[in-house]
Amino acid sequence: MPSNNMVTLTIDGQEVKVPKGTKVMPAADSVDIYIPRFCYHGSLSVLGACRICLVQVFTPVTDRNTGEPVMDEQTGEPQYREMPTLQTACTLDCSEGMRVVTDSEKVIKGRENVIEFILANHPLDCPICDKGGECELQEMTMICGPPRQLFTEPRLDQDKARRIGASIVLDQERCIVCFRCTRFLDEWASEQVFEFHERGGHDVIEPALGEPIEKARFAGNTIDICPVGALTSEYFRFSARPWELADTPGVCPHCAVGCSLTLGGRLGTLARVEPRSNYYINDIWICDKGRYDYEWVQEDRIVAPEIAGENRAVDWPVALDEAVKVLSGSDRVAAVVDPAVSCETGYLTQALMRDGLGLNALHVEDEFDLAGPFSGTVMDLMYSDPVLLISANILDDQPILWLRLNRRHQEGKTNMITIGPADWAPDQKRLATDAADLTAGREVALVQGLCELVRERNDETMDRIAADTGIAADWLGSLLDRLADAKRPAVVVGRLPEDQYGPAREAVAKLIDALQEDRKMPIRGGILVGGTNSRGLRLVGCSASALPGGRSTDEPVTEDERDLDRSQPKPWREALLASELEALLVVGGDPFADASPELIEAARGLSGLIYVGTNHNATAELATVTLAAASFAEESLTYVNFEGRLQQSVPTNDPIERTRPTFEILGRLCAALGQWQGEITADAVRTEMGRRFEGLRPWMESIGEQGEAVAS
Amino acid sequence: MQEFRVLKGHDIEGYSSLSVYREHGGYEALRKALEDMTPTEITDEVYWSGLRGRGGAGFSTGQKWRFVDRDAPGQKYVVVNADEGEPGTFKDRYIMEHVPHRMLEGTLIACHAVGATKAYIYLRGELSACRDLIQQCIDEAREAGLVGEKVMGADFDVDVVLHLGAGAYICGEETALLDSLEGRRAEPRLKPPFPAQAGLYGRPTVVNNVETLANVPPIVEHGAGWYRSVGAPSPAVDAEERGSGPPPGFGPDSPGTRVFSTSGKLGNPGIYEVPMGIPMSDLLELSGGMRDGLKLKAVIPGGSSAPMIGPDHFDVPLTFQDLADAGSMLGSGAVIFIDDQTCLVDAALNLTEFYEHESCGKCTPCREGSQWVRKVLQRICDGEATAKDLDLVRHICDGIAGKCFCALGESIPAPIISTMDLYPDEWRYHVEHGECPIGKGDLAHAE
Ligand SMILES: Cc1cc2nc3c(=O)[nH]c(=O)nc-3n(C[C@H](O)[C@H](O)[C@H](O)COP(=O)(O)O)c2cc1C
Ligand code: SF4
Ligand code: SF4
Repeated sequence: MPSNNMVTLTIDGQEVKVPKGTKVMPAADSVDIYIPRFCYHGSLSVLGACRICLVQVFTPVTDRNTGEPVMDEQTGEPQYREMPTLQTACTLDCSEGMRVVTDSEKVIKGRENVIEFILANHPLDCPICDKGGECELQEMTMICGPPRQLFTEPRLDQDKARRIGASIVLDQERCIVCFRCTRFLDEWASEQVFEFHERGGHDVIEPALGEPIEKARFAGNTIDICPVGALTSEYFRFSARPWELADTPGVCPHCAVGCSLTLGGRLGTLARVEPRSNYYINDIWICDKGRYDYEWVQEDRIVAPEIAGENRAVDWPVALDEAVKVLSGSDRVAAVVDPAVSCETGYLTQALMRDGLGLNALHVEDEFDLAGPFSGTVMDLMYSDPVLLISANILDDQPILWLRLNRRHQEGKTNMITIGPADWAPDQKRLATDAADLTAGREVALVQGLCELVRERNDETMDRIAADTGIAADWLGSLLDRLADAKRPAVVVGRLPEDQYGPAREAVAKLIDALQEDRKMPIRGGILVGGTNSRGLRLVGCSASALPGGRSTDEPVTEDERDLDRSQPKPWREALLASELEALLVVGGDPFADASPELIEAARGLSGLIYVGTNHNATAELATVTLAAASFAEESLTYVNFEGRLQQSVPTNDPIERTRPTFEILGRLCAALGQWQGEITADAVRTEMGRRFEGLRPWMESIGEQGEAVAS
Repeated sequence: MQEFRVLKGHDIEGYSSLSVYREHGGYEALRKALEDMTPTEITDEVYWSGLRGRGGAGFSTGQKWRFVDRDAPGQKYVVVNADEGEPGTFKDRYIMEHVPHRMLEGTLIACHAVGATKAYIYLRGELSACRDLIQQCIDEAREAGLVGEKVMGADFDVDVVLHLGAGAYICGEETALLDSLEGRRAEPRLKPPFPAQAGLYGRPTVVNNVETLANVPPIVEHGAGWYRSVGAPSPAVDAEERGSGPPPGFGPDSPGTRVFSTSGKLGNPGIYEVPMGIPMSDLLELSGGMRDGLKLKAVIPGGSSAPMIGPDHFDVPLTFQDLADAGSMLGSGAVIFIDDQTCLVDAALNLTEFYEHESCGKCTPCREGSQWVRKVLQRICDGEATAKDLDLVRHICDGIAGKCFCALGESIPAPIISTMDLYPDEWRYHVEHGECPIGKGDLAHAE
């Protein structure tokens, strides 16, 4: 007997069992029977437009009255009826007993017809098309196109190389009108970038707002899912053939989501950045910042070590000697670390400071230590409902997290509720299920109030909290109704004034506790702040309040650790202004960008400022010793994202000119202070980390392409 | 020979005004529906009448209404398809110009039957005369308490909104129409879900043609039995002993009257309401026969999407089944009589130009196939084609047939293949002699 929610069918004679409501296309995919496709895309709604996925279908004949299958009197087998026309596999629901044929003469001919139609007006300019080599139309034409073309009429003449906004160039002639791009913009991005105008053979893509928009958040993804070369990126256009790129798996350095990337290097430059599919993190998407913001890898780089003075560029040993001299010449040294530096670099930086210099002054340029780690993954949040976003502007700060939540939201599965100050995050508020303005600075009061109300709801408390937060009482009431009905709500708080993190941390924990009561599935949430590798840096001990392996600074000193004063240092800017520092080690970033004149003056007064960095910027300007570092595309590195997922990025290029991998630079400084022996490779650093610290074992193992969860 | 049911009163001065319509018993059906019948009884009556959609597909109206779950919570809609765009069809326009309140009354009854509190009339934008009149009808009805809250004092609130289309044929397709109403680019939607489950704004929606709805008030007033007393109802369906025979409104069942639009070089082309089942030759006679001694050569019996039929079928009874058996369909009830001085290749080109122009562009075979086949037909008409091009035309039509997303694309081969089959010599002559055997036909080309 067929079970209630499964159906069994055959595809080319092979039996397939799928949940009811499954379309034939994914059912065929599940048994590796490939049905050609253009408009079909597993991540988009079903459309049925291109018609290339035609299949022949037979269904069992059933008795109208009883619903029972009718048997052939002679054979005793069920009778089948062929559906009158070929069916599109992408739109057809699988049904019990259905027989699908994907390779009959009829099907082959139907596909040929469709390809022939698509090619009729196609310019066939593959030799000068960016998509050549990775084009689905080329591929389908080879697999199932007609042997010849009968079309001899003049082809439609349409726009070529037209800017349609968001750094995307359209070649209308190549477009096969599959609507993948516009469906993505509607169903995932909720962005008005471009859309179809006119109809029939005149179908054209036009900027949605009349004029092309300069920047979008997610539109670049349309380039990847466009099956042909109709959409190309202004950055990559004509810069290389896809097969010339040395593709390596990378990780995006731009935010704490840490999207998986494919880095396409060519002749020492980073030619293209594309998303790499990672089910847990970014699915198949990245944001436009991740895609396009890599010009700095090529431009205005520091290409050799330098020492301030007339003849700046020097040999590596000279620069390193000078740096060691500065760092070991005083015990009033602080390290300032950018949250986008790798785990390897972070580990060696803390080793240099703690074991080499005996200092605990490790300052990471983020608010992570104040906020504490976030509990929950992208998946956890996707399967939570509602997701409460309190002054958390994830649309701007963790864009892909928002994108994935928004898709769930569009499907009616996850509600997003945004609460924050009046002029803050207008787009996220507009696109939320529901949104409310909060009186500035009242986040903690709101979280505390919600906790109180979740535990015990009454009008008096409600009115008090409404007055306290500036949110209308009936809005709060409906939010509480929603929370009460929810199977699994989640709470995400964003950036706060510094002094608010402590109370906020406590209040959020209490609210999560209150919501957890009576619910089986763990309620997720926390304060979501920090940069690319903020979480990884804490795990490797690169912070004044964390020791390698995720231990706190209160824990006893181990045998091979140097005993030192682990008290928390004064914030480095205050210390610098108070003339309490003699030297600074800056690792990555540009902490002096937008600095006050006083701070810059104070930095000039230091006996030395060692800068380990990639580009000419305000910090490099102040540095006495500049140690030229490789970019993220040129060195092996690991990051841990906000969820606690460890990923590895493999370089696509060698370090340019005389730059060296960042971890190697730190390693050589350690070596000079006797804290490193032997070769300095990324693998050697990872092995050392794992060998010395139990909590860092995962770094010793090989890390899968989807990354590994190392903290939760 | 005519029997005025839908068009009853169309010849009365001022019948399009509320007062005259009511003087002649207008809105009594609505009163009966509100006061004497339950919504289920109304739907049942329409179902058992065997009324079938007049928009083209001929689907049972009562069955369509039954698909709507009346008791499900939330908004439901009725949408009047007044987009009338099928070439040759102009009966909805006549109905709206002459008996607009009957359509409106039918719409209100439909709303009550399916539990809708809002109706949209989606009117073809070009019908500017209808626009003002229909708006006036809605306003009059609202003022008289027939539209608005507590209609006729009953527990029934309804609002009616007139919406103008912007001149795309595809907007007549019910789901594309809904997209258009929602302010989107009009393209047919995937079915299922059908509009009755998820239609306008995702809510249960009934979409009915103007003529279909204008049939509803007399059915409610006089009953299903009365409705079936004319036309060509299937004898097996017994409306009195409900439930004993095969379902009404399906298969051969063709009860009631039909408002035909006749065109061509006729003595008296126009609108004729006749019982279904009369021979097509009678309709020709009603329309004044062929003009100027012209001879009838072929007929498009149901709007441009219906394949042409030839002399073998000129007296076909005008029912759903008989036309299907003749290889065509009753469609929108537009009967285009084509005379022997009209070039059929040119006629096919003319209709293909229409489809090319109106293809919404969603699916490949319709979008690309219509352009390609039009170009080849153009060459044939221009005398620049060879015999191979006839095979090419069939090849392209083959590539279109059975592979399109909606009926628009599926209609492209209809006039081409049917005339090729009916008059192969006429086609061959074009490619062999490089000219038309008749001289150019004078059907105006689209655009
Ligand atoms: C391309 C196309 C155009 C159509 N145009 C119209 C139209 O103008 N008016 C109409 O009533 N139905 C039209 N239809 C049929 C509608 O889709 C639908 O079947 C009809 O409105 C249902 O109403 P009915 O059941 O009352 O006939 C069209 C269908 C197609 C495929
Ligand atoms: S631009 Fe590309 S993705 Fe968009 S409709 Fe055209 S072919 Fe499809
Ligand atoms: S058949 Fe034509 S009108 Fe219908 S969906 Fe396809 S392109 Fe649009």
